[in-house]
Amino acid sequence: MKLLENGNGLWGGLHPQTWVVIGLSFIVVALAPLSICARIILWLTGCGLLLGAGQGRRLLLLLLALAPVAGMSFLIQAVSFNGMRVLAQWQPFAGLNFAVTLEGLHFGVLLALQVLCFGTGCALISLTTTAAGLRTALGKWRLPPRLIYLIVASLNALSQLQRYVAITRESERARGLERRTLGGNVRLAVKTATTVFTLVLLEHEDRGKSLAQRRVEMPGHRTFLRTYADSRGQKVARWILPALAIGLVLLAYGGVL
Amino acid sequence: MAERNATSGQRLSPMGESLGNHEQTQHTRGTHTLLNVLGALVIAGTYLFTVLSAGGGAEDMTVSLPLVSGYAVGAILLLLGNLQRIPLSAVALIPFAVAFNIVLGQIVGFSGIPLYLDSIATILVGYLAGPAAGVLTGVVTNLAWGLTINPTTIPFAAGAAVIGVLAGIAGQHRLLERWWTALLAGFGTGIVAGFLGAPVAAFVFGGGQGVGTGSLVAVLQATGQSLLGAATLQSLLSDPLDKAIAFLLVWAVAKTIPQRVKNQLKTR
Repeated sequence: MKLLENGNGLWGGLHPQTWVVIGLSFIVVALAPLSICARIILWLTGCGLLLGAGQGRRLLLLLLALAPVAGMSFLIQAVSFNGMRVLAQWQPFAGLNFAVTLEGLHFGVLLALQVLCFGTGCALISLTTTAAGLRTALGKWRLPPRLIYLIVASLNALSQLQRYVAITRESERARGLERRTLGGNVRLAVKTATTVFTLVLLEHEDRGKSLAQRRVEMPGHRTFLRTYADSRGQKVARWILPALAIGLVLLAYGGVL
Repeated sequence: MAERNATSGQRLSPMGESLGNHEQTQHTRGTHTLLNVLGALVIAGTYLFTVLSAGGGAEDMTVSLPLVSGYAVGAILLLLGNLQRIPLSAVALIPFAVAFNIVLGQIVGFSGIPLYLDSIATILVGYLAGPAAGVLTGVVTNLAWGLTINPTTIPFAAGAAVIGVLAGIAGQHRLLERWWTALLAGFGTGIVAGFLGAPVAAFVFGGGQGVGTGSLVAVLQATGQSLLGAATLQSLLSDPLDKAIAFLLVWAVAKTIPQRVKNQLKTR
């Protein structure tokens, strides 16, 4: 019996392939030369999709991570863009001219929205698709098995590394190596990193053998115990969305959007 | 028997017990070389196109998409050209190298130090297992980092691939065996990485990837530089220093790695 793994929320039933296509199409449109209004609509659409997928909390965290980059890109243009319509000016010394211009403010808003839209596009893939879902999507598109392994294992490697670090630290604590001073803790952190690093290097050969035994490189159909529900509508949508994105990009370059 | 022992996702056909057949035929070697050359040309061409077509100081939002697409295509070609060139034992090492890069990059990013240090494991893998493994580690680091914590790293994947290649070449030419040659190799790699990363920093993120680097871009732009010029100068101040330190750290780490491990990972 196969277990269905689709997520929760309004659009939770979407197949991982559909989410990846939505995300990639969104990223392509996000990088097109859109107007401020079009960028705001695009960003709100992305946020709406993520909220509908039940990812409100993680969307908030993502926005908190993106806000400094978006804010900084706006500030840079707001104070140093070489525009014509100057609102305020400050020349600390000759050759250095900080100026708030209308053009700079406009360009800054465009760049900040581009950062937010790009990040939201990436989030449409990363927040809605698990590593297993991504493996399914990439496998269905018949990407090289090595590439799929590398991407999915790398997504999982962070938590695996965290587990290794926890085990190593526990053993160091058990041996009385933990110190209550800052310097002692830094030394312990370096020692932990060295131990984990050596461990990973020493076992790479066994990991390679394990991959070979799992026939990781053999092409062809793979059967997973967990699978994802798909539908004819989604299959059609996966063709329509990229075409729509290309259409929007052409309109943007034509100056319509 | 194989059917009975099968686990989820396992392929049910027999296969030789090898650590990945990375012996290449003349034909596949030629294809891989072609893909690598094409990848490098696409990345270089995209950089030149961006520099030549970007309006100096104007509100230029038209280059972002061609720039990111060109770099993405270049990085994908490099990925495909190197995927089969390394043994499975090196493939198994890469995910952990990626995790090391992400953890170190995040820690340094939060610390406020005006460096990145997010390519140390890429350089180490490039040194140990050759340029092909370096490319894979670089590209996959930026992809995995972007898909887990920080989406802004994804467009820099092409630059990360080039860092991996250059680290691998430096390793092949024994430049990571003396501290001063490692320092010079890192400095040179940083210059290339700085040039490649500057258009992304400028046109995708407006130079605003950090408070320190962003302030520097603002000051340079206030002196009359274009956004691309300011971002390039800022990158050329940060990247060579960052990569020189990273190469020096790899030189120090590499001294502690047993020769047996180094020999196991050696590829072309």
